[in-house]
Amino acid sequence: MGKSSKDKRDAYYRLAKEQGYRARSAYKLLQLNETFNLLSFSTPARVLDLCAAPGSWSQVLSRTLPPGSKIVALDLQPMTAIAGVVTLQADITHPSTLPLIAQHLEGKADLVICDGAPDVTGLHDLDEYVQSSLLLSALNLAACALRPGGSFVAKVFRGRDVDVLFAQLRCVFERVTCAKPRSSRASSIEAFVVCERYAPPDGWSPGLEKPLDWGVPTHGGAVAREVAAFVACGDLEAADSDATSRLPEVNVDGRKRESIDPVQPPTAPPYKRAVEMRKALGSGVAAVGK
Amino acid sequence: MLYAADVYVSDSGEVTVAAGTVFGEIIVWTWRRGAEGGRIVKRLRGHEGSVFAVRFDPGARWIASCSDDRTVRVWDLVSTDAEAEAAERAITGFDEVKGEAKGGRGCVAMGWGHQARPWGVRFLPEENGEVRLASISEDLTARFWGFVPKIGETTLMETKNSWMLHQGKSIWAFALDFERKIMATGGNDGRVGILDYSDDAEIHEEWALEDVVPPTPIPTDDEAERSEESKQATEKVKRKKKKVKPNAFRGYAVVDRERFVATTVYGQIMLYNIPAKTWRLLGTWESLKNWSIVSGWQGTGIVAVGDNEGKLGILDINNGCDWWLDAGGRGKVAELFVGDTAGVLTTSVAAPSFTIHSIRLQDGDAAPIRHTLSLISPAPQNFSPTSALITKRQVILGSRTGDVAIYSLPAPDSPTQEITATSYHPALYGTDTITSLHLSPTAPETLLTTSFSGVYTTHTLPSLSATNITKPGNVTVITGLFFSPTNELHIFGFRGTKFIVHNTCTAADTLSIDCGGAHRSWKFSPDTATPWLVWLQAGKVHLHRSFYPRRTVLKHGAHGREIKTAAYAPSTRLLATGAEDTTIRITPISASGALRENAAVTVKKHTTGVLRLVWSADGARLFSSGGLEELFVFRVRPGPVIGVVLESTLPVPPSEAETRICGLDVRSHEGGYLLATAMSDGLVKMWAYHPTAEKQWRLVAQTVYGTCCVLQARFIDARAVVVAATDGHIAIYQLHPSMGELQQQHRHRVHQSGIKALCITAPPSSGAEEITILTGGDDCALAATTFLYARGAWHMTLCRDVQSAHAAAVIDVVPITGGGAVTVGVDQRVGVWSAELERRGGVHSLVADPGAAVRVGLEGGREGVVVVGVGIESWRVDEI
Repeated sequence: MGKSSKDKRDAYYRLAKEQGYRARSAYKLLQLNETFNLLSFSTPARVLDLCAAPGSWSQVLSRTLPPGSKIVALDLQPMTAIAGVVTLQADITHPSTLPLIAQHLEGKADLVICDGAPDVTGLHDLDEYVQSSLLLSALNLAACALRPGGSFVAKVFRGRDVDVLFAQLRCVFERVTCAKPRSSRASSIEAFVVCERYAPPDGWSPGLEKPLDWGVPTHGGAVAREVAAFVACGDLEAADSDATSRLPEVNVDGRKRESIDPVQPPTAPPYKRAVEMRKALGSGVAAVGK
Repeated sequence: MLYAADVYVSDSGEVTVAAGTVFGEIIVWTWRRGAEGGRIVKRLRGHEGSVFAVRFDPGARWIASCSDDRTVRVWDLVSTDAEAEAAERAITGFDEVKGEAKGGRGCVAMGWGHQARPWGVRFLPEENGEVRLASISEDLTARFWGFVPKIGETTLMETKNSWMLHQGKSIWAFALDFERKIMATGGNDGRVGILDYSDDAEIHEEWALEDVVPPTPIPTDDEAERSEESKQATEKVKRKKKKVKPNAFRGYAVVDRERFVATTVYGQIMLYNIPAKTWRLLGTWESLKNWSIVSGWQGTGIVAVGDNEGKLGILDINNGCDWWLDAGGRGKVAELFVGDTAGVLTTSVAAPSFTIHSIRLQDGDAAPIRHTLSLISPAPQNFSPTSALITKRQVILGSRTGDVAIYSLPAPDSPTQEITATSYHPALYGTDTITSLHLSPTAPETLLTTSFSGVYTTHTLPSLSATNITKPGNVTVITGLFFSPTNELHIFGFRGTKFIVHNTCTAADTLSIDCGGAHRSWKFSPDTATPWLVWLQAGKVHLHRSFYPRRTVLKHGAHGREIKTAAYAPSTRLLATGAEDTTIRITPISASGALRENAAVTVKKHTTGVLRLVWSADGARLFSSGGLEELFVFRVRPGPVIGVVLESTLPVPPSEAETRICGLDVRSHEGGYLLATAMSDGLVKMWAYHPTAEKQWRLVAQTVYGTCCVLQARFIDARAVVVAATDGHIAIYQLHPSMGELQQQHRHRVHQSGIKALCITAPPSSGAEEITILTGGDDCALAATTFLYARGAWHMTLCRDVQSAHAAAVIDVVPITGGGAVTVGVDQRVGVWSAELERRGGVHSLVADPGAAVRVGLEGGREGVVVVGVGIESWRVDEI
């Protein structure tokens, strides 16, 4: 899809470029915040952003949180620096990451957010499983990093067995809501779990050495299921990510409208070298190796 | 995080596990009975993306792996010193590999070739010291690889063979039987295919010119230099200087199933007998030097040749005779086409006319009787024939620039000397070369054409109006087509460097030969039993024969990607499904609710994912909508072979065609149809469609719902439409009596966000004055809103809902008898509800990413529900 065509298809893609966000996903956090007041701290806060690259959620944090807040952004990929954000290249599942976070946050976190998702394969069971595993890893780390009463927000794929995940989150948070910002396409199975008021059970000490397993068994032996309440976020007057809009011919200043380049180009994909190989070999793709 | 693993248990009971991680690493660890825990023995690093599969070879000498970086690699488990690095890695993630790709320590082989992610890899038995592997991929191919291992080095593996076996996206599974040499593959399209990969299923032969042509009587430079030159195509310049053209192969003609002829630049005609494996010189003709054009009447042993002096040669190979006749043109014979009968058409360069020769052979070596007729070119300078269909009654010519001319032939005894075209169609469907013309063996007066641009078209004669235009994509340059004995249409041509034969009924390639691409001389014998291709590549003649059945489809499957919409026509028992892969499939459903997949037809017309399908009430027409404002009307005829013809396309100015038609409803009205469309740009439109009217489409009314995407539109009656949008509201519009204005009568919020499902039920007791609108939302809720018609308008009387009806979005609501409904959610559950919205039952569905559900009537008056998504499932409502 061309740039201009993407502009028409997606109001948030256009808006992100205009407002200098690295990805359209920034609006998902902004709209979650409208409903849940996740970022309305009266005093400086400590916030941890997991799977942060390319960094649009961290951008929202740095623009929204009160001055003096500590923001730590983690990712396996290198990330371009953001003012007021400490970016760390680290693995969220690794025990050595915890002290690193503690060092930069200088205390327990008020909020942990995670917008991470794997590259989808198209095999739905696998994709939902991998997304659940990622969320579980984020939860493990959040459980170690959060202060009691703190919040955790993470992306989920609302597919089969998502109710198992909801039930598990309910064990450590007082309120779990399934939220869908209007900037997240209705055609996508993506949604966000907003977990409020962290309350670890008595006698449970979280740690990355012995991470949580998937699902909470019930007394009957089956796995616990719970459907979390659904909340659509974002004003109904806000742009609809599924709508096709007609682009204005001219900008506000009267000049002819031109499509802006994205703030940050996509990161290098793992198949970059394969593409280069193919280019080098010309159109004779089938002759590779000959 | 792990993506892949394989286990090997040695004779001594030691267990070795290879695990591929999301960070491109393969961790090898061992465990022995009694040991407290496992021990990591190797960490194999080199992949630049997640590892999707790992596999031990039967002796645990090698590990094969494939990754998101698109490579297939083989690792040496014995000789590698990767133990040195067995220690815990300092960082997670990928090591940065700069410069040229290295396989990584311990990597003995690496293969590039898959154009998308490889999902699986297996070892094949070694052959002649060569380690061999098979891999499957998202790019729909299975590939065979081979390499001779060199310890301590990374060898670049060769693709030994590759097959395109499925449609849509991804082959997920495969199994191999090494003894019978067959491979089964399962794709995202639900198809299970079987491939016979044994070497004796295919025979490949090749010859250099000097292997087959006897020493030439034409003097040239010394032999050594010439053979050197013919190998080195790059030395063309040198050749020109000397003005001595070396001998080379020129063209081919199929004589019969077992023989072909090849012509040479030096005017020779050679005959090859395939079973006997013998070449024979038929003769050398001075007039065939540097120019010849050859074609055969297949199965007769007779070949027609055009020479550089304007003569037409008739060679009777079986009897060893040849006759030369004046071809009737100017200069050399430019093109030559043979017909089904004894007709042959010759052309010359930029000629004002073409000549059709009717030839009747005499007994013995007496000259044949010939009758000629001139066909006046419809555009002398610009009509250059590239294909011809010659019958006793007519001649149809296709040109280099996409033109078609039709000539009606006079009676055989007519004194007419020349005729003009009865009809001429310049650039019939574009300016791409028409590569072949055929008559349908099953449908009378039906012409099929193929085009260089990868399109094949079905036309009705004599008007040439198209009834079906298909661009299958699997063959990017279509050069011809043929029908199998069971009348399955096969197209053939090229995709990249390959020659492909593609069965359009099963949408599967039946033959693929790496011949280097379309730009070469070649000839294909489209025999379904033993097809063969002869072609020139790098100065050599190649012959590839294949023995059927090489490929069979065990299970037909359906769409290549997730199904988004479905519609069922009770009168014809046909289920139409539309998918993200842009295709529509029409499948008969038996009285027990089973899908008859082998009788299904695929309709390729949309260029984006199909969003909505609606049958007309009588089941004779299917309406489909999608992105880019595409809306098509198909006429569908049930029967042993389901007939589908595109009847009409909603006219849209191309510049405005950005919108998706998300919602669609159709109802019969005044001899035609009324359509309601819900658009992604917030508009709701009402159309009148009259199939037989001169102006088929008329916009009756349109209105702006809002700035959000409208998802649903459903007629209440001919004057009222209910719509639903991403903002969670439903609204009722009524058409103003004067027509031309849709007035909003009611709008209220039922769901928090997008309304994914909507159906209308009318309780039988209360008549049509009361309706209930059932909706399912992205907010997991199910709602029922009741309206009463009074004083010329619809008034809401009741609204009930069930929050958390599903654990995820409710994607469809299907009314059932008794006022209840069946719901389907993205949580892969199917729920049954009473009219009062009480949960009656529920089951888990195996269909991932469900897109829609439809109600079907079953034998014994029972009700069924068909759920579509990634796959299709049918349920009996009373068993849920």
